[in-house]
Amino acid sequence: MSGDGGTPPVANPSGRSSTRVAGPSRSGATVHVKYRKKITQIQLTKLTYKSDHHLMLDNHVDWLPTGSLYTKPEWTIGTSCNPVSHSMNQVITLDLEFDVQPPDADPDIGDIIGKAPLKTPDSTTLYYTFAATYQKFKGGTVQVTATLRTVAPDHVIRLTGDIAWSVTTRENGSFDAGSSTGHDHFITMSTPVNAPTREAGITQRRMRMSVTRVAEANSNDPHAIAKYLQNRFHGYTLKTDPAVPAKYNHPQYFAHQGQTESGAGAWPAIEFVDQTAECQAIIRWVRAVMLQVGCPGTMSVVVVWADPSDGKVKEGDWDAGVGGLLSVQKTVNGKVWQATLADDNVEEGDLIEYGSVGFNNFEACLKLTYGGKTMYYGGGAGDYETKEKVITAFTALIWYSWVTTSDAKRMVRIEKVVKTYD
Amino acid sequence: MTGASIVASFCGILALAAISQPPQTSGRKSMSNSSPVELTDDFIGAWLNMIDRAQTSWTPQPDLKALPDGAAVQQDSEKWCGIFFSPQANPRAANPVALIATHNATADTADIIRYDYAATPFRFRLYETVDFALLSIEEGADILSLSPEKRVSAVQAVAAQVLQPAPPHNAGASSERLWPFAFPKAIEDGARFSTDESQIPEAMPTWASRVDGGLRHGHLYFLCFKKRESGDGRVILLNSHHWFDGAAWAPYRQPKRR
Repeated sequence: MSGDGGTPPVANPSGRSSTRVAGPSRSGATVHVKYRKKITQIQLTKLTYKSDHHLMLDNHVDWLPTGSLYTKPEWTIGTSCNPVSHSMNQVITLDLEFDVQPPDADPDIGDIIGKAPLKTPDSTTLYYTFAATYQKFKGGTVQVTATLRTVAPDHVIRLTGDIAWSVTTRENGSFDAGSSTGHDHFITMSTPVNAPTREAGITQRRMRMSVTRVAEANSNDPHAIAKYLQNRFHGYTLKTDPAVPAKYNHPQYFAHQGQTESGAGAWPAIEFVDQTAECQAIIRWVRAVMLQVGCPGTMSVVVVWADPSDGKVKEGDWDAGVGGLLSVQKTVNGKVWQATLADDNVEEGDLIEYGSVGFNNFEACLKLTYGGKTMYYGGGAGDYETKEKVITAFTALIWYSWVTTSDAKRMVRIEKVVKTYD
Repeated sequence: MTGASIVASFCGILALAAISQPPQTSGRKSMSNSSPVELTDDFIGAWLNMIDRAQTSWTPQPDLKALPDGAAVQQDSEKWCGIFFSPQANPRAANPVALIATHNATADTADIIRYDYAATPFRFRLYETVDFALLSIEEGADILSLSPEKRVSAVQAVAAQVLQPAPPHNAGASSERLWPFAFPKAIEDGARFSTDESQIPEAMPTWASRVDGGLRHGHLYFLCFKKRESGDGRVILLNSHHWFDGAAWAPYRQPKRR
């Protein structure tokens, strides 16, 4: 590509330009002239992100945390750019490598501009500019660091497109340095964080979905994001749906009793959003998405229950396997009583058909603390400010036992109402 | 013989409770009504008797998906059969394919699937409800033809062939991962045994916490319980009369009543 502007010195046939150099006057004295080798072409050949997170694996096919870390440089001539994740409100920095022809071209000073009309998912074009000024160019390979000069994105968004590069030199004019193509920026709130246990892993597919969903929340407030995300699910289910591939262990999205862990944890839940999931799976998905985009705040999946010995509300770590009232039993007159939290009104002595009243070992919530505010998000089962309010999702803390009718129907008998909740 | 009398003869009626029908179909019953209901602590016996009561009403059902909630029923059956039984005894893997029949719930019977199939040297009949799977070995395990001292080892040998191996923590010192059945002194027709009869199926940690067996009508059987789990903390108690129509699951897939 040749220069297209400026007024370069007159070139001689060899391509060298004449230059007046310091010396005596023209009154018969010697005039020293040298010919400069003119730059005829500047071509971007390599682009490397310097300020990205470089944590993302290249699996864009499925929900597994597999694949290889995207390689650097992200772009070389003739290829499409590798995706990157980058924190919002942070200047994007790039290392650029140019091929300057001819190889023996003399040095010049140039300013680099990268014009980036990047598309949002809704096809809006946002215009960004990268630049590096007063850079030395000479024949051969030239490396330059450029930075984003326009205002950095201030929210989570995916930006895609090409960047058109040009170099304006002081003495060789301006050059179209070509375009780096296929940029795919996942702008996050901060550095992505691995979710705990089953949802661990930062991948292109997970990042793509997470950025898309968090961007839809249209807020940088973690509480608003959590609420938006959990509300993608219309409710919960404990019933396995045949429409969801068995390998995902719907609706709990983890393995139990002979099942095999899918490796994808709760990530696929959004792909099968119509089939919804268990509340704990929903909030595991919410947490994973928020961590994937580096959402600030402290997040944990907790279980909340009440202790029948004293009625006090307790809280434990779901990931650590805390089961609430799961194994809280006692034997009374030879019968095993089980403690539970009922979600409908019951009275002592009631015989309950299976399914007519919900019995719960705990309520699973996403506990999010940010900005001095703590909330318990119940995955569609309500949002609460304290664990004591979470427990009001239930109507009573009770003891029950199992009975069987002679016609073989299993039922529950309410043995003792320990505490009721308004 | 009525169902009630069968229960009485089998295990004795343990309690008589007066319960009422709910105003709608809430399933709530108070103790104040005069309708008597017999309660028993012998739920195994009650289930066995229920299967006897169902014997007169079976409909061939080659494709379970034809049931109202058939896809889910089939998936549930496939899942649990795979968990409970060895590939040899899994009706879903039978060749030739198992003959399937269904029994729709009545006032005193649950929805039941029956599989008839064979795998040398056995011929099996499997009864499955939303709560349990009862594998009856109709041929190939004539325990009662053996001398009494050989019956326990014969039962263990069959169990090892038809059940999945016991998890290591259940099998104890057994390197062959045998199920730790506690056998009665005499194994005769009507005998029952269990790996841990203190476990309540709905409350035990996993399905492997308890497996039962026995001899019934001369046939050896094994009984496995569908211990359902929820990561949500919700206790899954399914109405066995509404497996096929999906209503058993209705309380577990609605927005929470909050």
